[in-house]
Amino acid sequence: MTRIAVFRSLALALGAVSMVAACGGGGGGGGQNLASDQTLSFPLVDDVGDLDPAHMSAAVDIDIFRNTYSGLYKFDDQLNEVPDIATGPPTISPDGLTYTFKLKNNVKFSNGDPVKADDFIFTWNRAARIQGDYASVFQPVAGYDDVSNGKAHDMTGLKKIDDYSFSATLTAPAGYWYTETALWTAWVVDKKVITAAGKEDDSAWASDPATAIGTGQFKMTARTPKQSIDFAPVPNWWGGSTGILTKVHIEIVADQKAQLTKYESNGYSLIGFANQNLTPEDVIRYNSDAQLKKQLTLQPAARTTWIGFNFCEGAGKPSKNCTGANPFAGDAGKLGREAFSLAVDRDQLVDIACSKGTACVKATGGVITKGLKGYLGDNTDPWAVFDKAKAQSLYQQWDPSGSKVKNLVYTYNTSAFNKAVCENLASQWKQNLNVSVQCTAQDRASFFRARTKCTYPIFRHSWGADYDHPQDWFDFLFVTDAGSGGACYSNPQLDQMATQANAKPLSQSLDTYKAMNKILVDNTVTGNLVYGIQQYLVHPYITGAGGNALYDNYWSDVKILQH
Amino acid sequence: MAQAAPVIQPDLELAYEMPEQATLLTDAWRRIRRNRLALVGMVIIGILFVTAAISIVWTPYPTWLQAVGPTYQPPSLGHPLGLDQAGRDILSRIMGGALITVEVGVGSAMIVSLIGIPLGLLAGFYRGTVDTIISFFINIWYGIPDLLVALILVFVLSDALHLIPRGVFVIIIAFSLTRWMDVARLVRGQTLALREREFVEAARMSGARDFALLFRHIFPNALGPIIVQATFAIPAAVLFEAFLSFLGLGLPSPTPSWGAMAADGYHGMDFAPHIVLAPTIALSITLMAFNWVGDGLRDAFDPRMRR
Amino acid sequence: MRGTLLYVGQRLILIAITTILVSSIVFLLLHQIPGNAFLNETRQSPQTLAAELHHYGLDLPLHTQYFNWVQGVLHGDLGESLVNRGVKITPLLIRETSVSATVGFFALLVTIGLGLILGVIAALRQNTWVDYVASSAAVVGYSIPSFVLAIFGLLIFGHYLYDWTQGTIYYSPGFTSPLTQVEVPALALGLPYASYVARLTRASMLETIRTDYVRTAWAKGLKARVVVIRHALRNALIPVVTILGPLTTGIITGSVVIENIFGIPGLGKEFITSILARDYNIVIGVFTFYAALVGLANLTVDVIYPVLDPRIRY
Repeated sequence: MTRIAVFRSLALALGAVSMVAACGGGGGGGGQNLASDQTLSFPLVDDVGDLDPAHMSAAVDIDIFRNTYSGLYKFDDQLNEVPDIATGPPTISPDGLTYTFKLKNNVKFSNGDPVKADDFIFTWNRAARIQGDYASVFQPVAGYDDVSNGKAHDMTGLKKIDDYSFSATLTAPAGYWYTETALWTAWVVDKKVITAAGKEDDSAWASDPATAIGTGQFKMTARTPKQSIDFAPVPNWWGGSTGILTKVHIEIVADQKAQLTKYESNGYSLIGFANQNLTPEDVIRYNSDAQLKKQLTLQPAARTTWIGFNFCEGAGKPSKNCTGANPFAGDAGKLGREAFSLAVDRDQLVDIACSKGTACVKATGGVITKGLKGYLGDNTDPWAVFDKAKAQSLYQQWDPSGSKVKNLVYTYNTSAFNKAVCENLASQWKQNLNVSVQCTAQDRASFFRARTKCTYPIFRHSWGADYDHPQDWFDFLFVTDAGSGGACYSNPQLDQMATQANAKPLSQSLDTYKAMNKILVDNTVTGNLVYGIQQYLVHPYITGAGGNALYDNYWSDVKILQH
Repeated sequence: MAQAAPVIQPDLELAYEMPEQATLLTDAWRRIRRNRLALVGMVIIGILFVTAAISIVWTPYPTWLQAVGPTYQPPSLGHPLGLDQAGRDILSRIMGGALITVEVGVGSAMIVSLIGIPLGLLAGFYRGTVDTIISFFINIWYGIPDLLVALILVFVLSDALHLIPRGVFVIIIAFSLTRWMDVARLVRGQTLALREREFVEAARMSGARDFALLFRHIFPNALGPIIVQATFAIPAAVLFEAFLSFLGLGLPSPTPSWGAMAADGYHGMDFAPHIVLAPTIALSITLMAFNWVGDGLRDAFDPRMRR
Repeated sequence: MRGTLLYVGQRLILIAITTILVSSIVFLLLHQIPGNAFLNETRQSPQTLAAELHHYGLDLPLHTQYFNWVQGVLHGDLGESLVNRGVKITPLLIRETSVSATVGFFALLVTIGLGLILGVIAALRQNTWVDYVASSAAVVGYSIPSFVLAIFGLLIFGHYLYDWTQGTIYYSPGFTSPLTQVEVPALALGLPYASYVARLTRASMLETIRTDYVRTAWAKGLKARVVVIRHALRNALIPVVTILGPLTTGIITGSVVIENIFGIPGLGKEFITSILARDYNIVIGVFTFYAALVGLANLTVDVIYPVLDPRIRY
């Protein structure tokens, strides 16, 4: 008796307190019925990894710190590149090698320091020296190679013109570089603060709220590792208004059930910011209830998942990483690739692995995700359909004795989603082709290492676009010796088209990129499976939350209404 | 024992009167027959073994086949235990899990005995340096959460060094490498006590060699507690595997291990409780059964304990 | 008194040695593993990798790394997380230990409290249906794995009784409502061992109660009976204290799963997260903590023992 009674009274008391706290009673601004407590709170499953823009690579980190750092350019909600600290697009010399950037003259860091061209040059050189995962953003700039090797301190291609303008000279024309200048590695950091806090290439300053200084609308006010992070708007922000929020509180709660429970008792404003998602069961539950569905926002995300096939035909062929032949390689393996792709009923896959279509949808238009530039169009991929009879006949032609698929192992990096996909693929291949494929999970680190060495005959691959430009896909995945390929695919024609297209601005090269995409589809280089969806669970009294294909909305867009 | 350290061991390490070998087993059998819980346990274990055997050749649906029906479907006539989050038949997977349970449990009990018994015999019989070395190893683990070391071992052997692929074998190895000490300690205690007994003296005086002494005289008399210990090793191993699979470090998917099934169904607990209930209940009943039988065997082999 | 202090001092040194020994084993085990925590999906050049390795000192020869690590441990510095850059491990683990200790403490209360009560009841009503039920409950208790108990607990308190608990059983940073948030995990953690304690208590109490002088005292009436029970209990505590060492080990092991299930950010949760994320520095750090904790628990047992049983002397 006593225990339950204690429970109950505690629960009631708690419920009452949290209701009052969360709703903040009456009052609020004028006709908008704003709540008096404008604190946005949301959970993360894992703590942020890197807080220094020069090191950042995970979507979690980037989505959060976009609100505290900014650079010359940014992407708007439609993924168009627009000026942020720059006054306008760069002036590009006729030979395509020199970019001149002009800065606004009223930009200040959150501590009041003015932002000048020197700060940008310092930031970019520092990022090149530190060699974080995205330092290659500066690779086209002259002098980058020496800096990246540690031989030089600064890139020769960066030159100051005056306090508010500077130029960057490239070694060769690169049509995609303008897009890359909007990425996080190029966000400006405060040289004065960093050098005062320690060595200029150290990152400790970024984890300390007192020294984590940027030009964004918010600044970090508190951080307890693996527990919580707090932000507040920058007073007198150089760009004007920072929105309505007065505080942003992020908690690290590893258990998704606990997150959802707290969300449902109004402890969190939303779940989904910073690349978070819901458990399959929770999202299905919300999606199938007419009332609950209103809180669920499903936004297409710029990520494609596909079946990776290994194109190694022998030791060193076609890539130096190859150690032996693979059944799926080259022309000899084409029938196999087609059979394996046709044998998958993507509707069933989406139903089971994508939580009934709430976490991802069928990929029918090539490897570049729908909504991004370079997408081929709905239902343009003839191999991304389900045709059991054809799959079986192709398979019989390709491997009548079953020797090619003996002990076939499909490897993926550990995650609940990857596991669900592999299990479904294995079940369908067994059911439709009578081929037994074993699913093996590897931890992320060794998986990527092995995959880069083209170790796996068939494997999970997935790519989340860093920016909306096809070069991000081809240069890293499909050109010969591409850094993240995993397939050791090599097609000289494709390489040539890539070099040509990369040099031109996108308006002139888009058709070439699409043609390249078509080559991939025609040759079933990838077994395209699904396009990603970003899930947001948002209370009806929160407006302005959500995101576009690559990022969440800025926190300055969010308002909390009375509730 | 079902959980971590063997807490009840202190009782068994005392030397006590053993009935003569000829009637040991029949005597024990007579006693255990009167223990109702142990009998129930034995029936359950019997069902487990039979189910495991049947699952090798037949299950209502293949354990790996997805989309047999709508996902998360609750129990119905066609699927008495319902369908899981991928539309697989849960009854079939429970049957497959029974096989895994038997493999892991019996396999571990065998290996752990194979390592622990000889080492314990040697330590107890020869004493001196041999004993010191073996006892050192036995004692070093006393303060360590051995389950966690076994976990790290599985991880290192499988995922990191790729020496042994993920599967029942590596789990048995990891478990045995961290738990042989319990068996060894028990056998050592028994041997220490028994080696002083008259029948051993008599055998020695009639010229029996060490090896014969150990295996024809001492070992059979220690058999009772050894059997009990082995019986308790089974649920400990099953628990270890379920624990690993629940954390995602166990058998590769889609192996229908009960622990893995519990992990699958855990997130959907509110939504579809049948998915998590089936394997957890199966696991609990099986572990209980082994513990009842183990308790019964221990009481049966020990004439001093009367209820 | 001096003797005890000397003994405690010796034991502490022994604990330190064992801790370092065990952690060294784990350190060497994990450092044999090729590959590292640094690979990322998108891009990584050899220079990036080299820079990372250098930052963490992983490009040094193994014995140098080991030496540096031991030095660090002796100064209380367990290094930096491989995954969360800049996060120092020692303060992180200290914070998480306090969280785990809270739950563990309550679990211990459950174990000892519930176990003693069950054992006493069973002993006093020996061979009646009460005894039978209590003893069977004990077996059921330690048969059901703690994570199964946790799942049942979540189902009952988190789902079916949601209207009463309002989801307060889930952890919030700082344990905002300690009683409700700790109760269910402590129950799940402590229940299996309560059964052991119950059995031990029952057996020990039976032994004490059966002696002649106790039977005489018992016959004398209520007041005497209370004295008898107190005396019997005191004797029953001795075997319970004996198992406190393995009990702590068991609770530590159980906490690994329980914390994961309830989302409690303690040592156990950190252990699993770090293994899966290949954050070896933290894994080694957690193990060091565990080894030290278990050593201290055993030491506490050995120190309390003579207090309970005056016959023991060191």
